[in-house]
Amino acid sequence: MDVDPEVVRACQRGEAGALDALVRATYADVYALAYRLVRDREEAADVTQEVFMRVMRSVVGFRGESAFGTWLHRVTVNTALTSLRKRSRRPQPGREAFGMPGDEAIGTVDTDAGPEERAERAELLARAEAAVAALPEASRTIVVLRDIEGLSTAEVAAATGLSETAVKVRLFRARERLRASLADSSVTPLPRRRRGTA
Amino acid sequence: MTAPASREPALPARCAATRSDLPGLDGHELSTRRATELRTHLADCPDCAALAASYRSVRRTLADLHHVAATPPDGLLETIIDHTSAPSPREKAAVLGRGVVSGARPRVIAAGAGIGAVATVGAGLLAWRAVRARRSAA
Repeated sequence: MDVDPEVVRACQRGEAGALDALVRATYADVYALAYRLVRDREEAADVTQEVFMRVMRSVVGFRGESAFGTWLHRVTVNTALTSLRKRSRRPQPGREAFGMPGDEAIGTVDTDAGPEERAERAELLARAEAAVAALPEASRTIVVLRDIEGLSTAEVAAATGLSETAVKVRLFRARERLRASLADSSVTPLPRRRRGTA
Repeated sequence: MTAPASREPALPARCAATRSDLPGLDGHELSTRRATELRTHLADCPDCAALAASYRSVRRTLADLHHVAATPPDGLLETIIDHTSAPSPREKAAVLGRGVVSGARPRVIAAGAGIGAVATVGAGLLAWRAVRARRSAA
Protein backbone atom coordinates (compact mmCIF):
# COMPACT_ATOMS: atom_id res chain seq x y z
CA MET A 1 0.00 0.00 0.00
CA ASP A 2 1.72 3.11 -1.22
CA VAL A 3 0.80 6.26 0.63
CA ASP A 4 2.15 9.75 0.03
CA PRO A 5 3.88 10.76 3.31
CA GLU A 6 2.69 14.34 2.76
CA VAL A 7 -0.94 13.16 2.92
CA VAL A 8 -0.15 11.42 6.22
CA ARG A 9 1.47 14.57 7.61
CA ALA A 10 -1.55 16.61 6.49
CA CYS A 11 -3.80 14.17 8.37
CA GLN A 12 -1.65 14.55 11.47
CA ARG A 13 -1.95 18.34 11.22
CA GLY A 14 -5.72 17.89 10.97
CA GLU A 15 -5.97 19.57 7.56
CA ALA A 16 -9.41 19.56 5.99
CA GLY A 17 -9.84 16.86 3.38
CA ALA A 18 -6.56 15.12 4.19
CA LEU A 19 -8.19 12.07 5.74
CA ASP A 20 -10.59 11.84 2.79
CA ALA A 21 -7.61 11.83 0.45
CA LEU A 22 -5.97 9.10 2.50
CA VAL A 23 -9.14 7.01 2.46
CA ARG A 24 -9.61 7.45 -1.30
CA ALA A 25 -6.00 6.44 -1.97
CA THR A 26 -6.02 3.30 0.15
CA TYR A 27 -9.52 1.95 0.78
CA ALA A 28 -9.55 -0.39 -2.25
CA ASP A 29 -6.27 -2.02 -1.16
CA VAL A 30 -7.50 -2.30 2.41
CA TYR A 31 -10.75 -3.89 1.22
CA ALA A 32 -8.92 -6.33 -1.08
CA LEU A 33 -6.66 -7.50 1.75
CA ALA A 34 -9.56 -7.72 4.18
CA TYR A 35 -11.61 -9.72 1.69
CA ARG A 36 -8.75 -12.10 1.04
CA LEU A 37 -8.57 -12.82 4.75
CA VAL A 38 -12.25 -12.96 5.72
CA ARG A 39 -13.73 -14.17 2.38
CA ASP A 40 -16.98 -12.39 2.95
CA ARG A 41 -17.91 -9.16 1.18
CA GLU A 42 -20.01 -7.68 3.96
CA GLU A 43 -17.48 -8.57 6.63
CA ALA A 44 -14.64 -7.20 4.50
CA ALA A 45 -16.53 -3.92 4.15
CA ASP A 46 -17.02 -3.78 7.93
CA VAL A 47 -13.34 -4.51 8.47
CA THR A 48 -12.41 -1.75 6.01
CA GLN A 49 -14.58 0.75 7.87
CA GLU A 50 -13.12 -0.31 11.20
CA VAL A 51 -9.59 0.05 9.80
CA PHE A 52 -10.22 3.66 8.86
CA MET A 53 -11.80 4.43 12.22
CA ARG A 54 -8.61 3.07 13.79
CA VAL A 55 -6.54 5.13 11.35
CA MET A 56 -8.48 8.23 12.30
CA ARG A 57 -7.87 7.57 15.99
CA SER A 58 -4.22 6.71 15.61
CA VAL A 59 -2.81 8.70 12.71
CA VAL A 60 -1.80 11.63 14.93
CA GLY A 61 0.28 9.25 17.01
CA PHE A 62 1.91 7.62 14.00
CA ARG A 63 5.62 8.28 14.42
CA GLY A 64 6.80 7.09 11.06
CA GLU A 65 9.05 4.35 12.43
CA SER A 66 7.84 2.23 9.51
CA ALA A 67 6.25 3.30 6.25
CA PHE A 68 2.63 4.32 6.67
CA GLY A 69 1.60 1.69 4.11
CA THR A 70 3.27 -1.03 6.20
CA TRP A 71 1.49 0.22 9.29
CA LEU A 72 -1.84 0.36 7.45
CA HIS A 73 -1.28 -3.19 6.20
CA ARG A 74 -0.66 -4.33 9.78
CA VAL A 75 -3.76 -2.54 11.07
CA THR A 76 -5.83 -4.22 8.33
CA VAL A 77 -4.45 -7.67 9.10
CA ASN A 78 -5.05 -7.23 12.83
CA THR A 79 -8.58 -5.94 12.30
CA ALA A 80 -9.42 -8.78 9.90
CA LEU A 81 -7.99 -11.38 12.29
CA THR A 82 -10.00 -9.89 15.16
CA SER A 83 -13.09 -10.16 12.97
CA LEU A 84 -12.27 -13.79 12.17
CA ARG A 85 -11.86 -14.57 15.87
CA LYS A 86 -15.22 -12.98 16.63
CA ARG A 87 -16.75 -14.93 13.78
CA SER A 88 -15.44 -18.22 15.15
CA ARG A 89 -17.34 -17.49 18.35
CA ARG A 90 -20.70 -16.96 16.66
CA PRO A 91 -22.91 -19.32 14.64
CA GLN A 92 -21.93 -19.70 11.01
CA PRO A 93 -24.41 -18.95 8.25
CA GLY A 94 -23.50 -20.18 4.76
CA ARG A 95 -20.43 -18.30 3.61
CA GLU A 96 -18.86 -17.68 0.26
CA ALA A 97 -16.49 -20.53 -0.38
CA PHE A 98 -15.72 -20.08 -4.01
CA GLY A 99 -15.95 -17.46 -6.61
CA MET A 100 -15.62 -13.75 -6.30
CA PRO A 101 -18.25 -12.14 -8.50
CA GLY A 102 -17.08 -8.75 -9.64
CA ASP A 103 -13.46 -9.43 -8.87
CA GLU A 104 -10.93 -8.12 -11.28
CA ALA A 105 -7.45 -9.21 -12.09
CA ILE A 106 -5.28 -6.15 -12.21
CA GLY A 107 -1.92 -6.35 -13.87
CA THR A 108 -1.75 -10.08 -13.43
CA VAL A 109 -0.87 -10.95 -16.95
CA ASP A 110 1.92 -9.67 -19.09
CA THR A 111 0.33 -7.20 -21.46
CA ASP A 112 2.59 -8.49 -24.24
CA ALA A 113 1.08 -11.96 -23.85
CA GLY A 114 -1.43 -13.11 -26.45
CA PRO A 115 -5.14 -13.38 -25.67
CA GLU A 116 -4.96 -17.14 -25.29
CA GLU A 117 -2.05 -16.98 -22.87
CA ARG A 118 -3.77 -14.23 -20.91
CA ALA A 119 -6.96 -16.26 -20.70
CA GLU A 120 -5.04 -19.31 -19.48
CA ARG A 121 -3.26 -17.23 -16.88
CA ALA A 122 -6.49 -15.65 -15.71
CA GLU A 123 -8.06 -19.10 -15.41
CA LEU A 124 -5.13 -20.38 -13.40
CA LEU A 125 -5.36 -17.41 -11.06
CA ALA A 126 -9.10 -17.97 -10.61
CA ARG A 127 -8.42 -21.63 -9.80
CA ALA A 128 -5.71 -20.65 -7.37
CA GLU A 129 -8.01 -18.13 -5.72
CA ALA A 130 -10.68 -20.81 -5.34
CA ALA A 131 -8.12 -23.28 -3.96
CA VAL A 132 -6.99 -20.73 -1.38
CA ALA A 133 -10.61 -20.00 -0.49
CA ALA A 134 -11.22 -23.71 0.09
CA LEU A 135 -8.43 -23.97 2.67
CA PRO A 136 -9.42 -24.16 6.33
CA GLU A 137 -9.54 -20.66 7.78
CA ALA A 138 -6.42 -20.94 9.93
CA SER A 139 -4.30 -22.23 7.04
CA ARG A 140 -5.76 -19.71 4.62
CA THR A 141 -4.81 -16.80 6.85
CA ILE A 142 -1.22 -18.02 6.91
CA VAL A 143 -1.03 -18.60 3.15
CA VAL A 144 -2.54 -15.19 2.45
CA LEU A 145 -0.13 -13.40 4.75
CA ARG A 146 2.98 -15.35 3.79
CA ASP A 147 2.61 -16.31 0.12
CA ILE A 148 0.24 -13.68 -1.23
CA GLU A 149 1.03 -10.65 0.90
CA GLY A 150 4.69 -11.54 1.29
CA LEU A 151 5.09 -11.19 5.06
CA SER A 152 7.98 -13.04 6.69
CA THR A 153 7.22 -16.09 8.83
CA ALA A 154 8.15 -14.03 11.91
CA GLU A 155 5.64 -11.34 10.90
CA VAL A 156 2.96 -13.97 10.26
CA ALA A 157 3.69 -15.50 13.66
CA ALA A 158 3.38 -12.10 15.32
CA ALA A 159 0.12 -11.32 13.52
CA THR A 160 -1.51 -14.65 14.26
CA GLY A 161 -0.11 -15.25 17.73
CA LEU A 162 1.38 -18.59 16.67
CA SER A 163 4.96 -19.74 17.02
CA GLU A 164 7.12 -19.62 13.89
CA THR A 165 7.30 -23.41 13.94
CA ALA A 166 3.50 -23.68 14.00
CA VAL A 167 3.29 -21.19 11.13
CA LYS A 168 5.71 -23.28 9.07
CA VAL A 169 3.90 -26.53 9.79
CA ARG A 170 0.56 -25.07 8.68
CA LEU A 171 2.15 -23.34 5.73
CA PHE A 172 3.79 -26.51 4.44
CA ARG A 173 0.55 -28.47 4.75
CA ALA A 174 -1.41 -25.72 3.03
CA ARG A 175 1.08 -25.52 0.15
CA GLU A 176 0.91 -29.26 -0.24
CA ARG A 177 -2.85 -29.07 -0.43
CA LEU A 178 -2.75 -26.17 -2.88
CA ARG A 179 -0.29 -28.00 -5.08
CA ALA A 180 -2.61 -30.99 -5.13
CA SER A 181 -5.62 -28.75 -5.89
CA LEU A 182 -3.86 -27.11 -8.80
CA ALA A 183 -2.41 -30.39 -10.01
CA ASP A 184 -4.74 -30.65 -12.99
CA SER A 185 -3.55 -27.34 -14.34
CA SER A 186 -1.54 -27.52 -17.51
CA VAL A 187 0.63 -24.71 -16.15
CA THR A 188 1.64 -26.73 -13.11
CA PRO A 189 2.72 -30.12 -14.34
CA LEU A 190 2.81 -32.72 -11.63
CA PRO A 191 5.54 -35.27 -11.39
CA ARG A 192 4.54 -38.89 -11.55
CA ARG A 193 5.91 -41.10 -8.87
CA ARG A 194 7.91 -43.94 -10.27
CA ARG A 195 7.77 -47.16 -8.40
CA GLY A 196 10.88 -48.09 -6.52
CA THR A 197 13.06 -45.17 -7.58
CA ALA A 198 15.55 -43.59 -5.22
CA MET B 1 -18.61 -50.49 3.91
CA THR B 2 -15.09 -49.19 4.03
CA ALA B 3 -13.14 -47.80 1.13
CA PRO B 4 -10.19 -49.87 0.07
CA ALA B 5 -6.93 -48.50 1.41
CA SER B 6 -4.82 -46.80 -1.24
CA ARG B 7 -1.97 -48.94 -2.37
CA GLU B 8 0.62 -46.41 -3.36
CA PRO B 9 4.13 -47.77 -3.43
CA ALA B 10 6.26 -46.73 -0.50
CA LEU B 11 8.70 -43.98 -1.31
CA PRO B 12 12.38 -44.44 -0.68
CA ALA B 13 13.24 -42.96 2.72
CA ARG B 14 15.31 -40.13 1.24
CA CYS B 15 12.50 -39.08 -1.10
CA ALA B 16 9.94 -39.24 1.70
CA ALA B 17 12.12 -37.08 3.96
CA THR B 18 12.75 -34.65 1.12
CA ARG B 19 9.10 -34.34 0.18
CA SER B 20 7.99 -33.42 3.67
CA ASP B 21 10.30 -30.40 3.55
CA LEU B 22 9.91 -29.46 -0.12
CA PRO B 23 7.07 -26.96 0.51
CA GLY B 24 9.57 -24.81 2.41
CA LEU B 25 12.48 -24.93 0.03
CA ASP B 26 11.78 -21.87 -2.11
CA GLY B 27 10.28 -19.84 0.69
CA HIS B 28 13.57 -19.94 2.64
CA GLU B 29 11.79 -21.55 5.55
CA LEU B 30 14.41 -24.27 5.99
CA SER B 31 17.82 -24.06 7.57
CA THR B 32 20.69 -23.53 5.13
CA ARG B 33 21.96 -26.99 5.92
CA ARG B 34 18.60 -28.65 5.25
CA ALA B 35 18.11 -26.65 2.05
CA THR B 36 21.52 -27.79 0.82
CA GLU B 37 20.65 -31.41 1.61
CA LEU B 38 17.43 -31.09 -0.36
CA ARG B 39 19.13 -29.47 -3.35
CA THR B 40 21.73 -32.22 -3.38
CA HIS B 41 18.97 -34.82 -3.47
CA LEU B 42 17.03 -32.94 -6.15
CA ALA B 43 20.08 -32.96 -8.40
CA ASP B 44 19.93 -36.78 -8.40
CA CYS B 45 16.18 -37.41 -8.23
CA PRO B 46 14.07 -36.26 -11.18
CA ASP B 47 10.79 -37.12 -9.42
CA CYS B 48 11.53 -34.94 -6.40
CA ALA B 49 12.97 -32.24 -8.70
CA ALA B 50 9.71 -32.19 -10.66
CA LEU B 51 7.74 -31.96 -7.43
CA ALA B 52 9.95 -29.07 -6.30
CA ALA B 53 9.25 -27.33 -9.62
CA SER B 54 5.51 -27.71 -9.09
CA TYR B 55 5.78 -26.16 -5.61
CA ARG B 56 7.76 -23.29 -7.15
CA SER B 57 5.03 -22.82 -9.72
CA VAL B 58 2.32 -22.77 -7.03
CA ARG B 59 4.23 -20.17 -5.04
CA ARG B 60 4.64 -17.98 -8.14
CA THR B 61 0.92 -18.22 -8.82
CA LEU B 62 0.11 -17.33 -5.22
CA ALA B 63 2.45 -14.34 -5.42
CA ASP B 64 0.58 -13.22 -8.55
CA LEU B 65 -2.67 -13.34 -6.60
CA HIS B 66 -1.38 -10.30 -4.74
CA HIS B 67 -2.38 -8.31 -7.82
CA VAL B 68 -5.86 -9.78 -8.03
CA ALA B 69 -8.05 -7.35 -6.20
CA ALA B 70 -11.59 -7.85 -4.99
CA THR B 71 -13.59 -4.82 -6.05
CA PRO B 72 -14.99 -2.86 -3.11
CA PRO B 73 -18.80 -2.71 -3.04
CA ASP B 74 -20.53 0.43 -4.29
CA GLY B 75 -21.00 3.02 -1.62
CA LEU B 76 -18.23 1.77 0.67
CA LEU B 77 -15.99 4.78 0.02
CA GLU B 78 -18.81 7.21 0.77
CA THR B 79 -19.73 5.33 3.96
CA ILE B 80 -16.15 5.41 5.21
CA ILE B 81 -15.78 9.10 4.42
CA ASP B 82 -19.09 9.85 6.17
CA HIS B 83 -17.90 8.00 9.28
CA THR B 84 -14.45 9.52 9.36
CA SER B 85 -15.53 13.09 8.60
CA ALA B 86 -18.35 13.07 11.14
CA PRO B 87 -17.00 11.00 14.02
CA SER B 88 -19.06 10.40 17.14
CA PRO B 89 -18.21 12.49 20.27
CA ARG B 90 -16.47 9.41 21.66
CA GLU B 91 -14.31 9.12 18.52
CA LYS B 92 -13.51 12.85 18.68
CA ALA B 93 -12.45 12.54 22.30
CA ALA B 94 -10.32 9.51 21.44
CA VAL B 95 -8.60 11.38 18.60
CA LEU B 96 -7.98 14.38 20.84
CA GLY B 97 -6.70 12.20 23.64
CA ARG B 98 -4.30 10.37 21.35
CA GLY B 99 -2.97 13.64 19.98
CA VAL B 100 -2.31 14.94 23.46
CA VAL B 101 -0.61 11.77 24.65
CA SER B 102 1.56 11.48 21.55
CA GLY B 103 2.47 15.17 21.55
CA ALA B 104 1.13 15.55 18.02
CA ARG B 105 -1.27 18.33 19.05
CA PRO B 106 0.85 20.97 20.83
CA ARG B 107 -1.91 23.60 20.78
CA VAL B 108 -4.28 21.25 22.60
CA ILE B 109 -1.54 20.47 25.11
CA ALA B 110 -0.83 24.20 25.65
CA ALA B 111 -4.54 24.98 25.98
CA GLY B 112 -4.97 22.10 28.43
CA ALA B 113 -2.00 23.26 30.48
CA GLY B 114 -3.35 26.84 30.53
CA ILE B 115 -6.82 25.73 31.60
CA GLY B 116 -5.27 23.46 34.22
CA ALA B 117 -3.16 26.30 35.62
CA VAL B 118 -6.13 28.70 35.80
CA ALA B 119 -8.29 26.01 37.45
CA THR B 120 -5.57 25.26 40.02
CA VAL B 121 -5.08 28.94 40.90
CA GLY B 122 -8.86 29.43 41.09
CA ALA B 123 -9.33 26.42 43.36
CA GLY B 124 -6.46 27.60 45.57
CA LEU B 125 -7.93 31.08 45.79
CA LEU B 126 -11.35 29.73 46.75
CA ALA B 127 -9.84 27.49 49.41
CA TRP B 128 -7.79 30.37 50.80
CA ARG B 129 -10.89 32.58 50.96
CA ALA B 130 -12.87 29.85 52.67
CA VAL B 131 -10.16 29.37 55.31
CA ARG B 132 -9.95 33.13 55.84
CA ALA B 133 -13.73 33.43 56.21
CA ARG B 134 -13.74 30.60 58.75
CA ARG B 135 -10.97 32.25 60.78
CA SER B 136 -12.65 35.64 60.80
CA ALA B 137 -15.94 34.03 61.88
CA ALA B 138 -14.14 32.30 64.73
